[in-house]
Amino acid sequence: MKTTFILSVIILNVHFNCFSQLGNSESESTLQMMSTESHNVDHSTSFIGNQALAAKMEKPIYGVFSERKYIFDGINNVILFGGLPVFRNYVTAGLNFSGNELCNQTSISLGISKKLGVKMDIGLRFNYFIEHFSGYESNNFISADAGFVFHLSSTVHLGLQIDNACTAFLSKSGNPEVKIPYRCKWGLGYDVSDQFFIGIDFVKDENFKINLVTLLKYQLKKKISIKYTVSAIQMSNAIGIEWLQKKIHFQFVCAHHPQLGISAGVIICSNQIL
Amino acid sequence: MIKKISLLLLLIHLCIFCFCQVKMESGHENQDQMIENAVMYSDQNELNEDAFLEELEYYKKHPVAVNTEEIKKLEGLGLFSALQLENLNSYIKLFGPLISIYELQSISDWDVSIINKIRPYVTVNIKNSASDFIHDNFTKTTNHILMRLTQSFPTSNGYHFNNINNTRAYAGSSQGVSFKYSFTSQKNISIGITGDKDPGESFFRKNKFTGFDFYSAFIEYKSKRVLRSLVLGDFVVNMGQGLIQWQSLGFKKGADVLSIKRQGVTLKPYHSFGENNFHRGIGFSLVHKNLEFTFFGSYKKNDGNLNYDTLNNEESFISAMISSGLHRTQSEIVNKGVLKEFSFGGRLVFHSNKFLIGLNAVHYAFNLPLIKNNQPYNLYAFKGKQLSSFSGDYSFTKNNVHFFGEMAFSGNQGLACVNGALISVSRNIDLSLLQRNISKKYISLYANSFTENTSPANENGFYAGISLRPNDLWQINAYVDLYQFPWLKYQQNNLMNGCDYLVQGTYKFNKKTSLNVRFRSYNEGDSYNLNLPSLIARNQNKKNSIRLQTDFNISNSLTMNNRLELVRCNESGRGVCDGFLTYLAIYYKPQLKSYSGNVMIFLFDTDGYSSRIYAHESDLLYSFSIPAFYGKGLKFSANFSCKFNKKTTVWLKWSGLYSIDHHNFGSGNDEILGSFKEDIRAQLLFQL
Repeated sequence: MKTTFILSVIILNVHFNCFSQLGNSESESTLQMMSTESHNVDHSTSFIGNQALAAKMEKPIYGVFSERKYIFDGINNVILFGGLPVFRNYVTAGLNFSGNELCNQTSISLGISKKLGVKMDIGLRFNYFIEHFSGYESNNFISADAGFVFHLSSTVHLGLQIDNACTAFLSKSGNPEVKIPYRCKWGLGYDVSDQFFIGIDFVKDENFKINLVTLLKYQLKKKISIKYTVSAIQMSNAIGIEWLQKKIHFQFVCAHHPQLGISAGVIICSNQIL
Repeated sequence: MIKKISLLLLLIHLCIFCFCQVKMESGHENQDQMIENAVMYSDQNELNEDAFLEELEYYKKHPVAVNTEEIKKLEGLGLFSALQLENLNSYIKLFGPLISIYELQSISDWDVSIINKIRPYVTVNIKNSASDFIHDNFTKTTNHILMRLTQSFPTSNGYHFNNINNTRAYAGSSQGVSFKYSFTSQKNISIGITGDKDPGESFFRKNKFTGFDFYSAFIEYKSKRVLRSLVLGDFVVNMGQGLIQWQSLGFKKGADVLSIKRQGVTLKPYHSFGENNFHRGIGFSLVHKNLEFTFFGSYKKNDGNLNYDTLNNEESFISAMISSGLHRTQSEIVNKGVLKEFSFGGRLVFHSNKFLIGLNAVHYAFNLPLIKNNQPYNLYAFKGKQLSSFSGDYSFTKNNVHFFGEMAFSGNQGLACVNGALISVSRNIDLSLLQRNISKKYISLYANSFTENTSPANENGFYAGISLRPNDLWQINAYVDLYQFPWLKYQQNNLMNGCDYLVQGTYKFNKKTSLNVRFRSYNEGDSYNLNLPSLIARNQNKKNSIRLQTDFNISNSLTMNNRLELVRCNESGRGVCDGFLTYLAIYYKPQLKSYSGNVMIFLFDTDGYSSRIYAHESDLLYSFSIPAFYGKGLKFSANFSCKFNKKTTVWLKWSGLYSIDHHNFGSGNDEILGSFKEDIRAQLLFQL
C-alpha cells in the first residue's frame, strides 16, 4: 500500500508537470480542503472545504489555522474555527483574517450542517466579509455558501460546494462593482481501502480557468497520516502530515507554487482525529 | 490495487487532456437527453415537440401490447432500435407470445437497460380486439383540458410605453396563455384543439375577436380495416429516412448510437403548440394486405419576410420563411401568413416480414416566389414558387444485420441518398453505420434526416457507432462522424469538412445509482481547395467537452441528479473560449401521495455564446426547457405538482436567473434591465 501511495504521488507529479503553464488559479492548496473526504476518518477541519462534511461530526471542536503565504511578510492567513452539535445538526463558526494592516480581508462565518439519511449530507454557511484597503475604501459584503455530499456507495462520495455565488454589497460608500468572487467545487472521492483515500476536485474560481485538484491520503499508522495534493493548472503541490497527540490534532502543511514559492502553515485543533 | 489506482489516474489524464485541446458532452440517454441533443442540433432554444412528451405520457397510461403489432406505435420514440424490433418480432413468431416482460431478456439485443426503458410503456397482456365499437368508443374515452399560463418579471422593453409617442412595441400583454383540449377513444376516434398566445401577442383585444393568436385542430379516425387512418385538420407526415419529409421529432447524433434510423408512423395528427412544422388539410392511410398507401393534401399560411420590388414594379417575393411563430410587433404581424402554401404528397409501401420498400412524393406550391438574399451560400437555395421531391426507401434484415436507406430526387436536379446498417455483432456489442450523400443542389422543405446540418442539404458524410456492454455494470458508447460540405454554408466563407466524435462510459454502482462520463470532440473547418480564389479564408472551429453526471436515489422518495460540464472551444478569429456548468437537481416524489416536486440549481460561467452549454431544466408536464447557458450566472428552479382528485392536477413552476456579470438580459425589445429575472408558469389539467 505504501508503494502504491508513493507511486501515485510520483505519477501525478510528473503528469501534472506537463500542464503546469496553462493558467493561474488560486485555491486552498495549503489547506488541502476538498469537496469530499474519506468516509472512514473523522476530519474536524474538512467543513472549511465543504460545509456538508461537518454533518457527520458529533463532538464539539475548536481550533486555529495559521499560514504564511509564500513566506512573504505581508501575507498572513489566520482562521479560528469551532463547531458544536445542536439538535442533530452541527453548527460551525469561523473567523478568518488574511492580508496585512494595509490591505486585508476579514470574514465571519456561521454554518449549519445536517445529515439527510445515510446517503446525503447538506450544509449552509453565511459569511460576512470586511475588505479594507488603507487610503482607499472599505467594503462590506454578505454571502452564502451551500454544500452537498452524496454517498454514492460505501466507498465513493460526491461533493459539491458553491461559495459566494450570491453576494450583497453592504457598504454605504465604495465601489459597488467590487464583489467577492464565487467558487464552485465538484469532486469525487474514493476510499480505496481503510487507509488510502483518493479525491478529485474540479475547482472553478470566478475569472480563472477551471482547476483540477487531486488529493491522495494515506494513513501510515493509527495516529499519523500523510496528505498530498496537486493542482493541475498552477502545478502547485502541497503536503501535510497530521497526527493525534492525546486529544489535540496537529497538522503541518507546506505548499509549493512554481512561480510564487513556498507557503507553510499549521493547524491545531481539538477532537479525536484519525 | 495497482490496477484501481492506474484506472483512476487514467481518468484524470483524460480529464486534463481535453482541456489541452478543444470540445463537448455525456450521460445516460434518456428522453430528456435525446431532446437535449435535438435542441443542440437545431440550434434553437426550444423545440415545439410537446407532442413527443404527450405521446410518452399517453402510453404510460395506456401501455401497448408487446405481443401485437401495436408495439410499432412506439417506433420513433427512441425507446428501441429497428434491429431490436425485428428480433422481437422474430422471437414471437418462433416461440409464441411473451408470457412476462422479463422474457425480453432472452431475445437477442434486448438487455436490462432497454427493458427498463420500455417497461412503463408496454404490457404483455393482449387486449380483446373483438370489443364492440360502442364499448371502445364510449366507455374507454378520455377528455383532457389543459390550460397553461406563463409570466416573466420584470417585463422587457417591448412592453413599456415609449415616452415620445406613447406607444409600445408589443401589441399584447406579457402573459403567455395556452390551452389544449383532447378527446380520445382508445381505439378509433380522437379530437384535439389547441390555442396559443405567446407573450407579447394580443389576446381578445378590440380588433382581435379571434382570441388566441394560433389555433390548431384535428379529427382522427382509426380502424383496422382498409381505411387505417383518416385525419382532418392539422397533421404531420413522415416518410422514409426523412430526406423529403419528416415532421415528427427526429433524433440526431448522441450517446444512443443505435438511434440512427428514422422510424415512426407516416401520418399522425398534430397537437403541439408549434406554429409551423405541420400540414393542414386532409390525410389518410389505406392498407390492403402488404400494401399501405398514404396521401395528404394541405393548404396553410406561413409567415414570411415579404419584400416589394418597387423599383422595377415587379411581383413581391419572400426572402425567408419565418418559423418563430411570434406576432408581437407591427412588422411581425405584417409578415403573418403572407406565404400561402399548397402541398400534397403520398407514400406507397410494400412490406413483408423482414422487408420494406416505399415510394414517396411531395409537391409544394406557393403564392409568392421564394428568393433568398444574393449571397454565395444561397446559390443553390430554393428559388421559385414550386418544388417537387420524390424518393424511394427500403429496409430489410439479413441475419443479424438490419439495412435501411432512402434515395431522393428534388425538382432542381438535386440528388440525395442515405444508407445505413444496424449490426448485432454479439450479445454485448452492437454497431451502427450510416453513409449520406446529399448534393449541394438538393432542396427539401419539412425534411429532417440524420445529418450534421439542421436540414438535409449540401452534405456528404459517414457515421459509425458502437455500443459495448462488457458486463452488467459498464456500458460504453462511442461514435465518430466524418462529413464534408460541398458548398458554402451560412457564416462559413470556405468549403468545410469536419469530424465529430463522442465516447461515453456509464458505470452502475447499483440499480439506482450511476456515474456517467462523456467526452465529445467537434472539429470543423479544414478547408479544401475548389479553385475559388476569392474564397481563401480558412476557418477552423474546434470544441471539446467533458461531462460528468451522477444519477442517485437518496431514498424511496428522493432522487438526485448532478452534472458537471466543461467546454473549451476554439473558433477561428475569436480565440479560445471556456465554458463551465454544474447543476444539482433533487426530485421529491413520496409514494402514495398526490403531490411531488423538484428543485434545481445551476451555476454557469462561459466566456461567450460560442462556449454555451445546454442543459435540461425540469418543467411542467408535456413541456420541456433546454436553455443555452452562457455568460456568468446562477439559476434556480422549483417545480411543484399536486393532484387534487382523480380529475384535476395542478403544476407550478418558478425559476429565477441571476446574472453575475451583466445588468441586463437580451437586447432591443426583449431587453430586460436588471441582473435578476424570474419566470412563473402554472398549468391545470382536467381529465374527464
